[in-house]
Amino acid sequence: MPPIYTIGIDLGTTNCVVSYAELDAETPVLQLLQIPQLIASGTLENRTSLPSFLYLGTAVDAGFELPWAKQRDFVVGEFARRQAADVPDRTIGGAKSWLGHTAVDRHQNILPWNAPEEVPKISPVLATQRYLEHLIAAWTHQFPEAAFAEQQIVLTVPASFDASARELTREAAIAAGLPNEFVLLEEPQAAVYAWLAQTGDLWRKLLQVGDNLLVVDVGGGTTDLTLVSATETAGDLQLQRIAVGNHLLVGGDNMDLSLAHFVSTLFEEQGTSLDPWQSVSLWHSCRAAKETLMAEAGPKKQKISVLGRGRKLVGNTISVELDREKTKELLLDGFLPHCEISASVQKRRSSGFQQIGLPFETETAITKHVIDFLRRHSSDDQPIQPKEILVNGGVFKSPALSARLVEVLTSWFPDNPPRQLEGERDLDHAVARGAAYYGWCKITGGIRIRGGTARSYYVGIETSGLAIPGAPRPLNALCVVPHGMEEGTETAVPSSDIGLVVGEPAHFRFFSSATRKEDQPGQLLARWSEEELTETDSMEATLSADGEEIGNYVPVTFESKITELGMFELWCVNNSTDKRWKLEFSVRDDD
Amino acid sequence: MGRFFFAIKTFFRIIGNQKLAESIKHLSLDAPTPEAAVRIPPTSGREVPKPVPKKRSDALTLLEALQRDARLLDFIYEDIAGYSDAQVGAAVREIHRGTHAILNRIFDIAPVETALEGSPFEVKEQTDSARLRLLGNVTNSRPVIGELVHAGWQARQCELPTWTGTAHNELIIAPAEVEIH
Repeated sequence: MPPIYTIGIDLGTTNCVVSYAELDAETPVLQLLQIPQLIASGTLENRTSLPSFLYLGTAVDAGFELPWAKQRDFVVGEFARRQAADVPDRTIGGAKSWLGHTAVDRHQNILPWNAPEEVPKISPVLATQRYLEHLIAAWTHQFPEAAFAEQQIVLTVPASFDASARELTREAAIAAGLPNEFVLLEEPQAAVYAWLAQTGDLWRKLLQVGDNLLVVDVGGGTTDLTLVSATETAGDLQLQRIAVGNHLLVGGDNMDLSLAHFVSTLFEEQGTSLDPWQSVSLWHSCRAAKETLMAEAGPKKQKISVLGRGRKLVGNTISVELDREKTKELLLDGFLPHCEISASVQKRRSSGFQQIGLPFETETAITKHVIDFLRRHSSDDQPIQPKEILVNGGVFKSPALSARLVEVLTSWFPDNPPRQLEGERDLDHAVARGAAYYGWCKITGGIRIRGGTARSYYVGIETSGLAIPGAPRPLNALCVVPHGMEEGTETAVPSSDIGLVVGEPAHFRFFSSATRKEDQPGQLLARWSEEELTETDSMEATLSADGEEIGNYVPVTFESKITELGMFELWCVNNSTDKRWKLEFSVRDDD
Repeated sequence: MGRFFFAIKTFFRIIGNQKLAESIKHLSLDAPTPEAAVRIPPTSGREVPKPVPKKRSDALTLLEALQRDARLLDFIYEDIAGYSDAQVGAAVREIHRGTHAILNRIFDIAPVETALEGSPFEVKEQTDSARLRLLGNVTNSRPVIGELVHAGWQARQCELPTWTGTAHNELIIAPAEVEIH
């Protein structure tokens, strides 16, 4: 059956949202899917977002059943999010950040991280699959007549996800029941599509040829940067994604936490120290106070109270006064500080301890990450100058934050200050809506952002030559995918033959670069700086023995392909027999 | 009793008077939906099928939600006589925030009239006494200008959580909590 709906899924680090629209509408009406979920044991409620948390129940837990599942020993959604505060050892959060973290094996049962022995752990891939299964079940529950797998599905990923993190997302999605033909879309691009859906044809008047549009997407736990440029092809204005930023683990939750941390020092000055339970409710109060105090005509001061636990609520309530100026200073100067155009990002310390757990940013100044991004993607020594700014993410509901961002960018480019793209946008749901709109565009032939791959990719090849005892052979990086390789294209990688042993797994180290935009397939890099190339999961293939003698060398070259759906594939080809083997990401530990 | 005899009297007048019967036919039709109550759902356009309802009263489920998200029972059942107004005020701020959030989520509360309280208000020909209550010097002449003293309240939805617990626990509003150290 042809699809009836386009469905956009925002698989967020802290919240998932689903938007959908009928495909045969003249202009799509982008609606939000109601997601039934447990909010407490035995209590179901419909929400428009599903918190990305998973609680692993104990033997005595009960009341986990859903309209579509009778027996359950785990919970996803709002109830699981609440459990994260009450029973942290049994609750998984941030599974998505783990998917993009190459230092651990993402198929291993490692979550909840650092949980005690008896907790039945699961892998980041399985946690992701559970969230998607819930969303699919919610769809099926409401649209039994429109089979989910037959619809046009668009799933969003961070622009900063590399090929291996995308592959893992895809693996979880297929296991959850997404159709093979689903499309991956980068989140900041989805935010642009949401803007396009809202402005309609007017965007052609709002953007000029040569304009660079900077997308700053600050989610709960991550910040994602993208540059989109307006180009002209045959007299027609087009959009092209020209650069994406690194995976930055700093977001709105950091802001709430730093405010809560500050308030807890105020309590300490009064001689009250907070227990973990009080700290969690302080976090919620601070989130609410942030929105009030940062509002344009907000009060000068706001009382922050933490209610007493148990039935002595009023008697044990403690409170302090939070100052508007202090809050602004803390959040604006902490996360969006004024900085020079030459500012650089404080390097993450690479001590062994940093590898354990998630690599949270040590530099929380988003503005510094922005200027670093604009500088690194420039072709000369001047940073790229954006003409427009599009902000996305719940934190920008406080206009003071987006105003500060514009202010800092204006201080960098005083002659031609960037302007913020206007429009009332639904900041919490824009990514899902944009994804659904993209699905509609893809089928009906509406506007598309071109761009191809955000990175170039390289395979590590050991150089031949005389071996020096004790020294590893020097490694060269062979470019297999150029920056901007379009979906639905493939390329043969010219290189000398590489010998693979039949019957044995062949491993290749694998690298990506967001900044080397000129490299062409077949180009061999002998040296590179650590910043240019990032090593990710290695790739492997086992050459089946059919017809060949085990242990024989087979000469091969590479062929790379970006599928119509945006997935990367790498093949080894024996040019004399035309036999082909697909390389797969090996996300397991290499030892 | 006055209404009863009026109804009987009217009954016979309607039976005996064709013209009168025609002229008040509209009384038996459904009241037209007032403009302000029509709302485009911001979210899913269709009804979400709910699981088979259990027998627990919705009132208990609402009470449970108010306790869970706003600590309402903890507050009401605490003896506050001995506390200073400032101490009570500090607690109320949080309870106020929680209650406001949950009532909005469940009922999507809004005023009936959007005009500012204290501003002049025109009472038109046809008014619905459930939506508009007239006070003071009330006469039959319409339209008439008055002052809006209370904008009223309405729920624009009623989306209570669904309780799926077992029957013997239906009266439990909040479980006791034990923390294991």
